[in-house]
Order: sequence, then structure tokens, then C-alpha cells
Amino acid sequence: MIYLDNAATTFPKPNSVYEEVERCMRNYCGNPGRSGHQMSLEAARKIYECRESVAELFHTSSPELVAFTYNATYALNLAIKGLAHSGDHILISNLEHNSVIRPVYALGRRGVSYGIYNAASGEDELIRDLREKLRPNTRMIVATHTSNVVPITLPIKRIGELCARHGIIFIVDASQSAGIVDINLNECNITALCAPGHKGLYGPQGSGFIIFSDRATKAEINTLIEGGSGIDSFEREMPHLPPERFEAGTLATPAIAGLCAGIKAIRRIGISEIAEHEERLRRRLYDMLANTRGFTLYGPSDTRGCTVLFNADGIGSTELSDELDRRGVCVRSGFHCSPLAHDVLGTGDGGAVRVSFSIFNTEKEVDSLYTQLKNICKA
Amino acid sequence: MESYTLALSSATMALKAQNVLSKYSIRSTVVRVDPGMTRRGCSFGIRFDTYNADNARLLLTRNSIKYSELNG
Repeated sequence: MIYLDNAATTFPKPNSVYEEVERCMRNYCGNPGRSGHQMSLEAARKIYECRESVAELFHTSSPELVAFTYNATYALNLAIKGLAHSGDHILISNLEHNSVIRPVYALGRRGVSYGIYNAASGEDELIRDLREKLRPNTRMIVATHTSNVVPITLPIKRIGELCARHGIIFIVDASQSAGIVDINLNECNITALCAPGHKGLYGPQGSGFIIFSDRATKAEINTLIEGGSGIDSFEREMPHLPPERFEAGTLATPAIAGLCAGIKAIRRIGISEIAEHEERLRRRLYDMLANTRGFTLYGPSDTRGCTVLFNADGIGSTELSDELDRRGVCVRSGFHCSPLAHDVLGTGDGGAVRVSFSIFNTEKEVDSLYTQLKNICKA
Repeated sequence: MESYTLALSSATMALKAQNVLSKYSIRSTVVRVDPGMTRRGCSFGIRFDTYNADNARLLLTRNSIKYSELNG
């Protein structure tokens, strides 16, 4: 089997991830931050170690500002709904995933308005469009760092500068970039960064996080859910400080332990080495398809990234991905939960096929995919 | 050896405090604080040898880690 759906979730994981999840389940899976016995404290230590790893990865020194969630969608809902108030205006890009579009749309019922800026026509156009769409009540800008559909990475440093100049909250969805692009939270003036653990960080599904800047904690951030926190038991409100404020209920300790191992693994390999490897594979497939009649490629040709989006003449995207599946190749067809991006790309009717890479993919696998595609299209 | 305990706001902050102290060679353990010892109910703390108490307070303050003395 050739797995090329890594933008959805990476597979396989490094061996150390499987081993740590099992070690946790067998040896130290107490309820972290609850009891005072060794098993609970050991689980809490592992959780804290993972907070430190995440903080280091994004060049911050405050592990307590890392709150664990179950995925990036939860983290984005927390950031967007927790920081927006009635009367606020939010700007989102036209490359956002539904994990941003839907919570922003839902806030419309609470008196929050939104606009969409163009992130698909180059950096200068993006900044120009953002400036033009700013309103006096614009409180928040949300940016997917790297699109999950096409290899476009947004200039978060420039957007962050604009946010800082106008006192605007800046939320970054790093679902596709965490572990592949080096991100400095403070240099980019990011208020809150959200990411899944199970994609470029090679952790298990069920792990995700939000990391706040020091600046963010000065604002009152509303909670998404409330419940047990292991502390302040007689208070009716959630604790005021992160991370416990945002972590009601028992954490997914085995998933977080696996995430900790995943982060260690990518740091051992090196983020830039991973990016180079995936870009090499992407470029190989892109060039082969671009030089073959019968294929239409989408997105800019001169960028870097780890996704290739295409269609084949005379065959629907789902039909093509189903046929690839029958031949042992996993890719994803359709709209990839990013309807705005597909509208911009002109694939809003039938979607397209997305191929996405990880550090475990090889050139041989790319060549095999290409051969299968040619065979399917010939037939 | 007599031991001394400071209360922290959570297990997370207790672990952060423990890491700070360990960088300065002060050994400590994270403990669950008796609910009757604080005003807020359940909480965590760090326990260390009493002769380290002044240094520990100083280091926690320098690292912006808030702690509270136990009531009893």
C-alpha cells in the first residue's frame, strides 16, 4: 500500500510514537493533574514535557500557555469563539478550511461579522487586500499558514506586523505547516496558534493544541466547555489561567505522550530536512504530470509545499481516487473541507485529487503513483 | 530533614516550579496539597527541604511563578 494522504493525517508514524503510546497505556496512564499518587504525577509529568516540547518548537518560553485539545478544529473554535465578541469583525482568507469558516459563520448568530481576503494571488496582493478590508471594528485576522489544498504558504510575518500595527488579534491555523515550516510565535506577532498533533508532528489522532502568546492571556478568553480541572474545586467558574482554563475533563494522555515522541522525532530529523524531502517529491510528481497530456494541475507552479492537486481528463476526482485505492494507493478526492479554495481554483464543481507527502514517502512511490495514473487514464 | 511546601495554582505550575528549582540544584517533589490547607479547594504544591525555602521563594518570584504559603 502506498499512503499519500498525509495532509489528512500522516501515516505511518515514527516507531518511537507507537512505543511511547504503548508505554503510556501500560505503565503511566493515570489521570494527569488530578491525584497525588505516582501514576497520576507521572502522567502529568509527560503532559508537561509535551507542553515544553510544543513551546520550544514555536520558540516560546511559556509551556503553561500550551493547552491541549483533541484536534486543530477544537483549538480553532476555542481561539475564534473565545476571543470574538458581539459587534466584532473578523477577516479570514479564501484558503481557509471549514474548521475556520464554520465557527466564524456560526458567530454571525452572535452579532459577529466577517470578510474574506484573497490569499491566492501572491503576498503583495494579500497584504493590499487585507489593508483594504480592515474596518474600525476588525478585531481578528485568521490565516491558514499553509493551504491544505495547494502549496501556498501565507506570509504570516507580514500579516502579523499588520495585526500588531492595528492592535488586531492574529490567529494562525498551522494544521499543514507545523513540523514542516519553522514558526516563531513572537516574531510573527501571533496571538494564538492552533495545530493538530497527528499531521506534520506525527502524533496520534486525538492530539492537538492551541498555544497562546503572553499578550493573549491579558485578554479574557471565553471557554468552549467547562468541567473538572483538578484544581479550585469549590469555584463555580473554570480556573482563570491557561492551560487548565481550557482543558476541562480528562486529557488524552496516550495521544499527548505519542505527540511528545513525534515532536522529538521531527526534531531529530530536522524540520528543514523534512520540508526539503517533501518538496522534492512534490516537484517530481508535479513535473511528471505537467509534462503528460490529459492532466490538469491547480495552484501556482513556482511555490514550495507538500501537496499536488490535479484532475485527469474524462474521469471524476472520486472515481479516480477510488480506482487508485483499488490499486493500493491512498489519496483524497473532493473538496478537502476547503470550499473557498476550490472556488478560487475553479474546481468548485467536481473537486480534484490531492496527493500529499510525508517524510516516509519515497521517489519510488511517486513513480509508482504516476505509472498507475497513466494506466488508469489509458484504460 | 524537615520539609516545606508551597502551594501552586495547578499541577502544570507545580511542574514548572519543580523544573526551575532543579536548574538551581534544589530537589523538590510535586505533591497534592490537602484541600483544607488552601482556600480554593484542590491544588498542587512543591515540597523541598526547609533550608531551601528562602532560595525557592526567590527563584519562583524571579521566574514569575506565583505561589502561596499554606495556611496550617
